[in-house]
Amino acid sequence: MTERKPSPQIMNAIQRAMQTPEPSAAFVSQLRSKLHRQKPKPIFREYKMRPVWIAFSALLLVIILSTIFIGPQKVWAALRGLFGYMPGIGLVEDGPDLRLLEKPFEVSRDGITLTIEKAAFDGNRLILVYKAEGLSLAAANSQGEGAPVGGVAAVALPDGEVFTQSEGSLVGWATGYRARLVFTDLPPEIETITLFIHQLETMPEGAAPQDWQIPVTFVRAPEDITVLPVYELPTPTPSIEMNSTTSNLGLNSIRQDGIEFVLDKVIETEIGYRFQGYVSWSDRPEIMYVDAIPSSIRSGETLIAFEIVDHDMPNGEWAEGRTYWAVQTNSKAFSGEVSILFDNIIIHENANVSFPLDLGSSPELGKLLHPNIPLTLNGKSAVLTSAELLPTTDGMMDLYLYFVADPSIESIGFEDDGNNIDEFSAGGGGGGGGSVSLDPPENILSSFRYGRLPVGTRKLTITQVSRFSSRGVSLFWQVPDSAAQVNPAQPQMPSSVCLTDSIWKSLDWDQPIALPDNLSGTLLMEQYLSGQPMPLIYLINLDGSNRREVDYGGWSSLSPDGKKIAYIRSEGPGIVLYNDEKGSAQVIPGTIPEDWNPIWSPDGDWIVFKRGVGGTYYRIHPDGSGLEQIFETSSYLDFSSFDPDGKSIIAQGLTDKGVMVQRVNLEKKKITDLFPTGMAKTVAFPLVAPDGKWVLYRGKDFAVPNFSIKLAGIDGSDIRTIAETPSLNVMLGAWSPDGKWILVTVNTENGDYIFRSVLMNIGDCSVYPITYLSGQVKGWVSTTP
Amino acid sequence: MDTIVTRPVDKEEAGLIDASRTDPAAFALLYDRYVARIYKYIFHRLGFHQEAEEITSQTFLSALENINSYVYHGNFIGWLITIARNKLADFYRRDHPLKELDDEMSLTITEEPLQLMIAQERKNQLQEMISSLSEEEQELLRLRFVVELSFREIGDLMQKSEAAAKKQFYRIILRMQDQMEVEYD
Repeated sequence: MTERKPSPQIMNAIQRAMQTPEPSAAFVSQLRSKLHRQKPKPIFREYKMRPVWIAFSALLLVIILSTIFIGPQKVWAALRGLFGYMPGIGLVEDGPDLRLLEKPFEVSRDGITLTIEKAAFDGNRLILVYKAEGLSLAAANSQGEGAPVGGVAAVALPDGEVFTQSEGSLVGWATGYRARLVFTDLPPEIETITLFIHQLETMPEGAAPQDWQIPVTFVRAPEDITVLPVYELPTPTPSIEMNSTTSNLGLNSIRQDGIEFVLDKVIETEIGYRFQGYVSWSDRPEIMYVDAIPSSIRSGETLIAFEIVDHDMPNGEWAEGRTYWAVQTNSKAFSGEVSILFDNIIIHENANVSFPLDLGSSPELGKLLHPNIPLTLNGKSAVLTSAELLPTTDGMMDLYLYFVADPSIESIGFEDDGNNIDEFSAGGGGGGGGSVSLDPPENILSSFRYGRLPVGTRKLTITQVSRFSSRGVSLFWQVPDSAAQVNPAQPQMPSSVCLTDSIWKSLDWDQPIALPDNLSGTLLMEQYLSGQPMPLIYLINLDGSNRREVDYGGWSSLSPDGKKIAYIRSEGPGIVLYNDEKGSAQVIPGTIPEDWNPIWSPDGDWIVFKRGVGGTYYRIHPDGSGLEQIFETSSYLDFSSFDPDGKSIIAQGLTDKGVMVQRVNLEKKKITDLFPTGMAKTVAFPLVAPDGKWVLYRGKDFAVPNFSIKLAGIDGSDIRTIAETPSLNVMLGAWSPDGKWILVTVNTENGDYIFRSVLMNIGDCSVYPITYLSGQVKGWVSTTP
Repeated sequence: MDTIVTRPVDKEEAGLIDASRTDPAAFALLYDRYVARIYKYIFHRLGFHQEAEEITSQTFLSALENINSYVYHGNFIGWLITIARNKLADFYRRDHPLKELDDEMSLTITEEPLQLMIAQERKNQLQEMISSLSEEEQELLRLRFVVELSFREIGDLMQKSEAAAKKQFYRIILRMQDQMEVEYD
């Protein structure tokens, strides 16, 4: 029987019926600019909780104090819907309905064990955490990359009513495979349920036992259970409007310019406090969005370290015209009144101000026009002083407008009303940068991207104006006197940091430097160039001589003799070997498109590489012979650098303690934890020193938003921060062949995002700017025979 | 979710993701690569430009914000679609009525008037058929025709195998083809 195929006509017709417009050029351009100003959220550590009795006594005291200060009615209001925080589970409604697991429930089938470790049911929401043991990566991958895995879990009540999960998350295999399932809208009086899991997460059909049924029994929460208090703070309606006399009233909510700032929950954790609230502009429809996150937390004059964390909203409190914020301290070593300051508030407002701009019938690229058009933008003055058209690397045109604007204006967004240019398509390099720069007193630059050269008089409309709020706002909370003041941890910059922001600023990038200690060698570099999806790989001598470009590619690795580079190209089809003596490159036979992250063995005989995503590693001789799988693990594992003996590799893995520096013994096929990096879930790139005794890695300190470069003994002893530059990104580079120096790359964030390399002596902390290097250092080998 | 599976790695994409952790310019390249497809997915679900732009913004801002927590498993656009779905769910949760598709979602046709009328009628017929499909079937067509995902990527998102996604897709198309033939016979 021949299988029927749909006709091409019906396929085309459906495709046309579903045809969807492209996003507007203005939107794409503006969002690109907005993204360019944003930063990724820093990683924060997990924290542990303490027993409940302290929490309850703290809660009792705050109730008494609150009753005295704000009156019994407000206290009652504050206590309604009270939440508690349970370690490993999250926010639960901490009332008489709270039920917990009677005991862990375990079911084993065919060598696989499922254990329900934790559960809490608060009368509405059921949260279950289970772990699975005995699963294998081979089984998980047994049906190929596209096989469906997992599915929706359900719970059944004794009367047969079934509820499917509303949320779910899985902590990876490396951390012991723990899944958290949330079910909502359950009836309040339940004591037993049966959990149904048709197919385990990460496992395809038939690869592991299926259709699990686990009966679970709940009991009322005992009095000594660990439930930490969540102080729900009353919010006056409407909030008090802030003026010159109400700037410091000790309130947890206040309005300024019609924008409401609220601190509504304080969660006491074992090591600190989590503050969370929202900013609302629902009464100001002209506002598109408000950027407002706390910039500092103080107790009296003492600054308290904090990190921005996710806002936990167990009841789906989301409301239109609001943004939510949450911050976490790692200290409770303060008392009295705590103030949370918002002093960098940016209000993004709609605008509608049109004006003509004559670009001429044949605009000259790069030529500055001087229209000098005065404008009033939402009550603020701005003058469009000049404009210019510049081409992008992919053939599009950016129109740049330069304004001298009121200092309170942060940015201006505009559109071309007649932008019906059909050649427009999103693409090209990142926004900003290029040759465009502001020439004081111009203080605002705005751009719009066209698909082809715009000509004639364009009608431009300013559609968005963002401005800084005139004043900061502080929200206050009174710390309960009973709260334990533990872990007085303030971020401290180690005294031995070799590179800080101030040291960076003192470096002279204009003067040529003399390399110390007669240092020499060959460097492997990767440099991202505009419009190129993969960086340019090049070799250069440490003194800046003999630069030779290799190819566009990534994950480049320099052979120990400095004569070959293993790397990958974006189009595959395998690991590429570049021979510097011949100036030629070829794909290593036997490698495939799934191969990446090549690393040379110390003797140069082997290239170890990763196949696919996960923890499967192979090795191959540079000539393509000897291909063999050398290591496989179900954990997420990244090999980073060889130990000098070539028998083991220093790697990074994800564990329940976050990102861990690990040693992988290739002979015994065994992973050993060395030390945690302080990061929850990102890359540490551990680089072992030539003598094998030290590891350089990327780590993080609490409350410091950026990563730092750290040095540790191979066993995790003597950890020392080498570079910590809160206003810059600093990345790992390479060890010098003698193990006395390191090269790191600093990614500046002053609008230009350039990479610069710094040479540091780890013994005396002397620092040298290497002015002629661009891009990121990936390797350094001696050129001395 | 840290599922560990072996699948082809888009090394260029993996490199950009890693670089994005420290370099916004790298994220801009990822943005440029996917903004149109994400916008179109969201627009197709909503039907209105302003809301689609807002949710597209939220999607990419959230992706950038959380890039440090993202572990690459070979399907970055799948992650973006997942974020977009969550943002859309938030949007609907705010009691926004489900809006009719915008008129701007119209056919771009160059035929003569009579052919245009026939094409328009067919388009209406097809849109009716599409809207009568189950949400899962509509999502499958959307991911294929609007976002232009591969069947592997669709399978990942819909928790099916590549083959199952493909089979279901063609079953839907054949069913619609049969219906159209009946209508126009």
